[in-house]
Amino acid sequence: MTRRCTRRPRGTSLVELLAVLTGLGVAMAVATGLLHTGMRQQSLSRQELERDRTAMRLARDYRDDVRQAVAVELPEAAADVERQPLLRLTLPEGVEIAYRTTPQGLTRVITRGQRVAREDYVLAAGMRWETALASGCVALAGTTVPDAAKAHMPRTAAPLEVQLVAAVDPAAMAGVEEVTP
Amino acid sequence: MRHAWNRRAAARRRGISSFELIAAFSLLVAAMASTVPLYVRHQRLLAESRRERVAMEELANQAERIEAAAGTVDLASLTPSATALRRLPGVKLAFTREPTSLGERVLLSLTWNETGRREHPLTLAVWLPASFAAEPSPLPEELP
Repeated sequence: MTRRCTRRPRGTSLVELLAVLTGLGVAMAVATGLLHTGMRQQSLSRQELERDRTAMRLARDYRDDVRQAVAVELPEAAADVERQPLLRLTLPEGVEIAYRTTPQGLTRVITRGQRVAREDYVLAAGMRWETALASGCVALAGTTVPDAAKAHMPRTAAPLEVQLVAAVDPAAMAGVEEVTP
Repeated sequence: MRHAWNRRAAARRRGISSFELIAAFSLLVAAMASTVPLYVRHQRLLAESRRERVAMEELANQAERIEAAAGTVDLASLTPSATALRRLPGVKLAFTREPTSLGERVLLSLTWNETGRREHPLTLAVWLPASFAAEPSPLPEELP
């Protein structure tokens, strides 16, 4: 005669343990993913905010400089942008301002006699910059080159495009050839 | 007596383990349900702020063009730039003129396809001295 075991098993079975572990693993994986996405988004947002702030600072400085300029000088050809300043402005009292391209954006070089000051605008890697003079305005345009953007920018960051136009004193444009659109 | 207590304890443990699993999943689903809309909203806000920056630059550029043309530009024929047309879907540039004792106040406004943007356009005022408004002339050339 066999004796039937009526005692309930103590502890947890292997299947129960595996089920709980799997559930916890999935929960942790999803939670980690959410946390990672959140942190990445925060980083991207901060980066974009900083970039926007820099672009606005550039716009303000650029318009102020061009409005004050008594002489404007642009590079003769687009290829010269690497060697020459993108834009050279002469302000009253002998102050010279040059906008030069950098690998990360633009730099503004202010020369007052012997003193030279620099101000950097870090925007995005591998931007292509152009200047043009038309209809009494100096236009400064910068766009992200797609290949460079892929190599240097985060996956979801939007390509940057800067288009600035500033009115210039007609006397300052003497000798500078206007661009036909 | 002792066996009965053990049985009760074992039964309670088993119940708790599945309850914990359900609770963990419920919490996770709740967290995801609240996080996903946040993520979507965040993406939308980022895109909106990008578009707003482009729009602000566009208005400032248009104001500079009007000023450079010394007020001789025909405002009715002002059109958004190629960049604005590309970056701002359904963009429309409008203006209102208001004569004042100091000259003419031109209010430029920009709208594009965005929730609530048609009712609240982005605006920028340009002041033209009185002498400018009297001499309308042909359009200035479009900048590159």
